[in-house]
This record gives sequence, structure tokens and C-alpha cells, in this order.
Amino acid sequence: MIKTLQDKLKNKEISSRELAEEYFRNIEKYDPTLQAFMTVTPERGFETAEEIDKAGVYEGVSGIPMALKDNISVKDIRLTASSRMLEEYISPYDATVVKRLKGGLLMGKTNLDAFAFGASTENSGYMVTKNPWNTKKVAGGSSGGSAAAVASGMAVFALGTDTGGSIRQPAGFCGVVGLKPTYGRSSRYGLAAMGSSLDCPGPITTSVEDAAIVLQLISGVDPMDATSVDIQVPDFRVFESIKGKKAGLPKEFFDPSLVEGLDAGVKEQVLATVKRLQKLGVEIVEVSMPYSVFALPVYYIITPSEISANMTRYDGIRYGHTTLHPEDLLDLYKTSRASFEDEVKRRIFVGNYALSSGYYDAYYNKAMQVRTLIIEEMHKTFEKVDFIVGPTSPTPAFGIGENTDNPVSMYLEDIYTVTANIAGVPAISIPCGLSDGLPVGFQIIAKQFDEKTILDVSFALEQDIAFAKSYTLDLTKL
Amino acid sequence: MKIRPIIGLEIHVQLKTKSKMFCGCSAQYFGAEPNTHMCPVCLALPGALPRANKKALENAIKVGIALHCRINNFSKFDRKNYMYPDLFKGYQITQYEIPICEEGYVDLKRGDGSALRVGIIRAHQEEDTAKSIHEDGYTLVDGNKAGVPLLEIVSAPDMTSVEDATLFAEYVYTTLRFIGVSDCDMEKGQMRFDVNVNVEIEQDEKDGRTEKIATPIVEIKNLNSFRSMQRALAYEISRQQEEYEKTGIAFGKGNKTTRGWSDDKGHTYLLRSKEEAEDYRYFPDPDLPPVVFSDEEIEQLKNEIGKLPHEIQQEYISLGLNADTALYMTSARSLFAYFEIGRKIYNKEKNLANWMKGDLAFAISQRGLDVKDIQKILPVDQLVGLLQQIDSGVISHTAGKEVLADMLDTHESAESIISKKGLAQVGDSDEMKVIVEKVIGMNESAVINYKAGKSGALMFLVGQVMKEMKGKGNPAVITSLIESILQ
Amino acid sequence: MKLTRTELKHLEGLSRIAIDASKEEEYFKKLSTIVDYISVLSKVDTEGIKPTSQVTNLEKGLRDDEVTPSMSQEDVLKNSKHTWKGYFKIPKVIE
Repeated sequence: MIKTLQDKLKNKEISSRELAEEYFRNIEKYDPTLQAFMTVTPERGFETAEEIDKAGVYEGVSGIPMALKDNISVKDIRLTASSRMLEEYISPYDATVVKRLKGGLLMGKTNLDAFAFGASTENSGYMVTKNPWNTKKVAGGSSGGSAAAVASGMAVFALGTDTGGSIRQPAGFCGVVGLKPTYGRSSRYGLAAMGSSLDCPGPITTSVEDAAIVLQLISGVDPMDATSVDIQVPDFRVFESIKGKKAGLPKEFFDPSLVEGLDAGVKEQVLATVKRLQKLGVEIVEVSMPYSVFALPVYYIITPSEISANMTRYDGIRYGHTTLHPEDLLDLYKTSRASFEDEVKRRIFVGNYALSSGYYDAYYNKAMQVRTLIIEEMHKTFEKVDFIVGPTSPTPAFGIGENTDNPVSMYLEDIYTVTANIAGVPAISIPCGLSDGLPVGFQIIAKQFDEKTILDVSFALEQDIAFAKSYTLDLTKL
Repeated sequence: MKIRPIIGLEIHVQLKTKSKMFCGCSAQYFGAEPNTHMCPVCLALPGALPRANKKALENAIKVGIALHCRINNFSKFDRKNYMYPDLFKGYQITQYEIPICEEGYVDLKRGDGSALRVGIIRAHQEEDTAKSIHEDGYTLVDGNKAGVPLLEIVSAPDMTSVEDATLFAEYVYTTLRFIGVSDCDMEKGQMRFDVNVNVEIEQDEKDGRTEKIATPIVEIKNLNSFRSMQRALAYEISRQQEEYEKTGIAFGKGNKTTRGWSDDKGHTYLLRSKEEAEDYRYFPDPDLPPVVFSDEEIEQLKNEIGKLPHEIQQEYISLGLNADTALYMTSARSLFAYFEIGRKIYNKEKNLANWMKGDLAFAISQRGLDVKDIQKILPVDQLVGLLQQIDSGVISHTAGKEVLADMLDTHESAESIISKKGLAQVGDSDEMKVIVEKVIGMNESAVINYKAGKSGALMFLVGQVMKEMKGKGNPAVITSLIESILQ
Repeated sequence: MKLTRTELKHLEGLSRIAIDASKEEEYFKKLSTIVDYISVLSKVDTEGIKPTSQVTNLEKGLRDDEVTPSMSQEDVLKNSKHTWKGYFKIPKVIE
């Protein structure tokens, strides 16, 4: 869609301003129901549109309406991370990825699970984002707002962040494309930190081509991020044939003793998509990744541990929720941090538990060791195959309130996505069909820095599946 | 009863860099308005990330080399987690598991000549905290200092007296200033001490046995001058003896306490007991890659250091300089460099050194200038020119001081000033002979005393001649003239 | 159940977060579930395995010692409700 729109802009068939107007109208129409936006930014959006139209240069994402997950810093715009802790915080600087998307028209900042801790936006301190396909279902998380915004035409593309599946899972639930690049491919500078060794910013779009365009812009080493990697960025926007490539299908993904509750409809759509791959000339190889089962508990030790330290800067003194007349320092801290949502508090407790003396070896260190095993296993698998495939989530979008009683059942939603984060490899979710009227996401995982293979495969499948032609989202109900 | 204090020192040094440890804010914050040296990183805003300062790490390696440490090619950063208003991130980035420098030592000589080797357990890189100003009922916080590169040097508990601790601290102070990694200006907070001290008490029992006990270890934090350190140590050593006598509590696992020192009140006071000790939950910082320096890079840094102060001092003492003067020469790199050039063109090292430490140093400080600019203030070849004029008798030492002052103010050479002001001493001349004979004639009693062997008489006569010649007479020449006339 | 109530109290202190009395039981239950879940890792044999704290195998990433512009004092204090004459002002910290 980005290319088409830019051609129209270049040919003066439409102006940026008109595009902005159209998309802000959509927000007015659909967001009261979907609740995807924390902050809508017409002032900034129109300001940019005017600049772009005046300059008349349309390249990259200039003049294209975009939405940014509200844990990504935009200068002089409120950054809430969907937590009450940051209700009034205004960021004084731009994240590097925002700088690289210069010219994009900012529609607004989108809803997430508070501080990105969650898989449904039910942990947001403000509201739950509804799934455009069925408003009784969640849009997914933590980048639920971004996915819903793109799926319902409130933005052409969006940025999300993915630490355990937070781009891919909501993209899967909402029937759009969500790409998590390799850890270190894009800069984390300006992203409110969650799991520092896992966080990745990435695009959520309506097409694979759009994902490639956005990825191209945000990729590349950043001197502001010491963990970004100085590696050559290929041209992601050129797609090549996948004939003769080998796809791995991990048998653990479909083992009912390891993955309870794999929805029958999801399984059906995923396997049908695997057949499409065969038709396209790809050889399917069964692989075994036994350590991948431990990726989830590893994730739920490493992330809370890193989180517990990343959250200690929130004390209400320099910014954040606070009380004006604290009794003493401890009171100041406690009243400020009381504004944290329950899941935020829980992860801080778990993290401090895993790191505390006496438990460090059994939990944190152990998790880092198992991480090594998972990474080695991933490398070995990629010696046999070019990419790995499977479902994005065990179920399609679940009902609001369905998983909130048991935190672990919520965690299990990430079972397919987490391994890629632990190993630092890139992965994508593309829509492959419906189950019970809800989109099913198909996941493709490749080795470190091989986003190219992922995009080639996704593009070929996308043409074959023709999801947008086969299934249309009826927005009139919203 | 024998008392043996056991002392270990932790020295925190701010490393001299242009920017902070993990961001590009200027590290030269002294005197700046509060909170004007801040960025998202050191302010700890959501989304900010650290990037390690290469120069700070190179300085840390230089310190390690100077303290005979093993430099770890591979070291890493860890997070030390605790919440405190002066620690904006809620964790300090430090090196817990693998520090950059380890297992070194320092050799010292006590006043009584005995040798003392103090082990260096480790020296690791970390960042400084923000500044807290405690007022009545509230605390003000200024973030300018937050993130400034800090090196923590941890000694082994090898010191046994206040003198030992002072020697060690002075050694570190001189060496670090000399190699240029820090100015160690304690008034500006660039160097601070924490001391760990306990006392071993050996008592002779009634039944002939000897009982040895140790008191619990006390850490005294944040001593910001040599004097505070000395006073705090002395106080604490006697307090611990008294405490033991009163309570009988000996050293035991986990009963270390932390105390502060009050300069005004002259005593230490309890800060934290072990029950409140924070669990720092150290873990590797995921935002920073490991620090790697190759053997070649470390060798290069070693070459940049050159000779160390204690090596230079030893060399100078063997040249004939006294210990104080040798120490002076290493109190600033500029002085060492100046002296080294001077030595090459003038072979009376002791004289050169004495002039540098005495009259020149005085003249420089009188003018409010800094010895670090000594070569600009008075190029060493010009000083040597002056000394040569005095050596060859053209002017007296006293006149030389006057000439020196003029040289500093006018930047002219000694020769030029002497001739312009006509300061040249009169040598063996008819004019002098006339005056000498005149003085001899006027001071019969002194002549008689001289002939009788009274020592002061000759000097008196010389003085009288000098007076007549208005200080222009060369005393040596006058003396031998009088002697030859009165023979 | 691996987590104890004492440990939970200790965690509250470490985290500087107080749990509402009314929610305590819920927190204890949910946290216990999580702790039990992550304890499954003890089953994995990790003898001799090196821990990974960075997936990229990057080394160094050092920055040259150059000064970059700082924020204005106004911007630094803008988001704070505890300021006074350029400083952050908080209740007296008891040493």
C-alpha cells in the first residue's frame, strides 16, 4: 500500500493533507469502539503533511499515515507505555527508529499492555483494545493497538515492539503482517525498556512489501545503542524465488503433550499453508527442537529479571506518577510505584526473586545457561533447513477476560513466538486463513540477520494465499 | 597487650575525561548550574541506553598498570540494583564479576625505613552518582555528577597504622595525578576514601596463655580529605578497643557495620547495620557488550605511561636530590618534564632542583600562576641561563632572585636583564681594591680579630665591602682579596 | 508451593512496592503459580554450559570521549513535580 500511495502522492492524485484527513476520519469512526489509540496526534500529523506537501519530495514513508506503539519515544508527545505511572510524561527526545521514519504522518500513539508486559492489552492501565474482526475478542498484545489500527485502516503502517511475540501475536490475531527483526538489527534507543536482551522494534503492515519498506528504513547500526550490530543491510524490498529452499517443521510444535490447547482450526490452516509451500517448490523437513519447550520458562525468568532493574528508575522524582507531599522517601517511592499495573508489579517481584542472593544460580543463571542450549539448537537446525515454520499462536484471538485469572495461561499464548526472541533470530507472522471467523497467523523464523529469507517466503505465500482478497474485514459494524 | 589495627582502603577516583562514562554529557561539571549536564541517558528517562567511554577504560587500564595489576583482556559491566534518590536509574553500572584490573601491589617505605607492600585486590570501572545536598527537612538533588567515570581501587587489608594508610593514599594520589588519569582534587570530590578497619587485640592471660581476638570490621564511608581519613581512622581504632572492652563482641561472620565520619564532631557514627544490608542482585548489564582490550592495546597504553613516580623518585635520590625534592619533581608531570630537559643542558641537578622547588615555585605561586604551565612561564633553558650567570660569579644568588622575578614578568633573558640593569658584580678591579683597603682601614678592631682567628671577623669585613659596593661585589672575590691583603 | 509469605514481604521491600492488603492473597497465589512454573528449568541438565547474556556476540561497542550537547535545565525539570531552583527536591534522606 505504501508504494501505491506514494505514487499517487507523486502524481498529485492526492495530497498528504488529504491522506491525513482520511485516516483521522477513520480514527474518529472506529477508535471509539476499538480503543487502539492512547493519544491521537492530529496537530503533529497535519504539521508533517503540510511540510511534505510543500517540499514535494515523496520517498521512504513520507506522507504516509503511521501509528507508533506508545512505548516508543516521540519528541514533545506524551509517552505513557499504557501505564498510569506515565500518564503525564512528555518525552523530550525522539527514538532513533522515529527519526528514521521521517516524513511519516503520525496518527497517534497506540495502546499496549502496560510497559509491554502482556499478550492482549488487558494489562493496559487505561483500556482494552478490541479485535476489529470481533470486538468481543482481544486484539492481542502487547502491540494490540498498533495491530488493530493497521487492520482497521486507522494507519497505513505501525511500529510495534516484540520481546516474546508482541508484534507477531497481535498481527496474527488481527489478520495483518507483523515482523520481528533480528535482535540488534534495529535500534532500541528510545524504546521504554522491557527485556533489554530481547526487545526489538518492528513493522506491522497490511502487506509483506510494506513490511520490507519499513524494515529497510529502521534497520542499521545506531551509535546510540551499543547492542545494535554494524552489519550490512541488504535491500529487503527485492523479493527472490524460494524454489528449492528447505523449511523445517518442528515436531514439538504439534505435540499435544507439549502444547496443550492448540486450536484445531489453527492447526488446519497452518498445515494447509505448509502444503502451499510445497506447491511453491519448498522441501518440508521434519525437525526436532526439544529445548524449545523450555524457551517459555527461560523467557519468564530473564525478562522479569531485566524488567525489575529497568523499572527501578520509576520513582516519581524526575518524572512519573507521584504524590506532592510525601511523608518520607519510602512513602514517596511507594505512592509513586503504586501506580504500576498489577502485571507490572508481578513481574518486578518475580524478577527480584530470580535475582536475589540465594536464588540467582537456580533461576537467572540457570535460565542464561538454558538460553545457550536453545541458541545452539537453533543454529544446528539452521544447518539443516533455511527457515522454520509453524503457528504464530496456539489459538486465534481469545475472548476478553478469558485468560486473566491465571497468569501462566496468558504466558502460554507466547509458546510459539518466544523461542525466536530467546535466540535473537528474526520471525514474521502473516495471515494464512480464518478459524471460526478469526484470522490465523502463520509464523516463519530464519537465522540471525536473514530477514531476507523471511520476506522472500512471506511474499511468495502472500501472493498464493491472497488473504485480503479472500477475507474482508467488515468495518461497518464498528 | 598488643594492638594491631588491620586496615584496608577503597579509593574512588573520578577519571579525567571530557564526557561522562555512559553518555556524551560534559564531565567537567564543577561550578555549573544544577541539572545542566544532563541527557536522556544520565537522567534515566524511559528508553535511554548507555554507551561506554573508551578513554575512561583506557585510563582505568593505565591505573591498573601503574599499580602492577593484571589487566583482564575481557571484562564486563554488571548492574548493582538499589533505589536511592542519587541513583537515577535505580541501578549503578559497575564491574562486579570480572573487573578490568586485578591482583596488583604497591611497595612503600615507612618513616622508620621498614618496607610495606599493600596488595591491590582489584580496580574496576563504574559511574558516579548524582549530588545530594541535605538541608533542614529536605534534600536537593543535582544530576550533573551522575554518570561521571569513577574508578574504584580496592586494597587488601595490609595496612596496620594511620601512617601506612596515609603512605598508601599519598602514593595513589601522586601516581594517578602524574600519569594524568585524574587530578585527584579532593576538594572537588574527585577522590574519596572508604576505609575498612578492625583491631587485633593480643592479651596475656593470667595463666600464661596469650589470647588473640579481633574486633568486628567497620567500614567508614566517604572520607573526603587526607586529614579526615587520618582522624577517622585514629578515632575508630581506639573506639573499637573501648567497644570490645565494654561488650566483648568479637569479629564474626556478617557483623560488619558501616559508619560515617563527622569532621565537626570528631567521631564516627552508625549508618547501617547488617540487617538492613541491601541485596544488590548483581547481573550482567544486557545493554553493554563485554569490554575487550588486546595485549597490543594494553602494551600501547603502558608505553604512554612511561616512568612511574616512585621509579623517578628513586632515580633522582640517587642523583643527590633529597626525598622531598624528588617527591616535588613528581607532583606534576610538567615539573618532571621541565627538570628532565634542564638536566640535559645543565649538570648541576641539585641546584636546578632547589631553584625549581624554592625560588621559582614561590615566584609562580606569588603571581597566581600554575606550575603545570612552568615551561611557558619560564622556559627551562632561560632558567639554566640564569643559574649559569650565578655559577660564573656574574651576579650573586641574592641578585639572582631579583633577576628571576624580572624574567617572569618581562620574558627577557637573564643576560639581557643583568646588562640592562647593570647588575653585574664587580670582579677583581681597581675600584674594589680601593674600597677593600678603605674598609680595612676603617675597621681596625675587626682586622685584629681576624688575625686572632675569630671566625666572624672576615665575614664582617666582606659585608662592609659589599655595603660600600652596594651589593655589586662578588663576595668570593672580596674574601680572597681581603685575605691576601691581610696576610 | 515454593514461594513463602516472608519472601513476598521481602520482595515488597526490595521493589519498594506495597501490596494492597485486599489484594495480598491474589498476589501470593498468582506469584506462586509463576514461581512454580519457572522452576521447571531445574530439570534441564546444564553442566558445563556457559550462560548467554548477549545474543549478538558483540564486543567493545565503545564510544569516543567526545562531548555532545546536553538538555536545557528547563527540559530536564519539565516532567517533574519535585523541583526547586534548578534542583530536584525531595524529603530529607536519612543517612
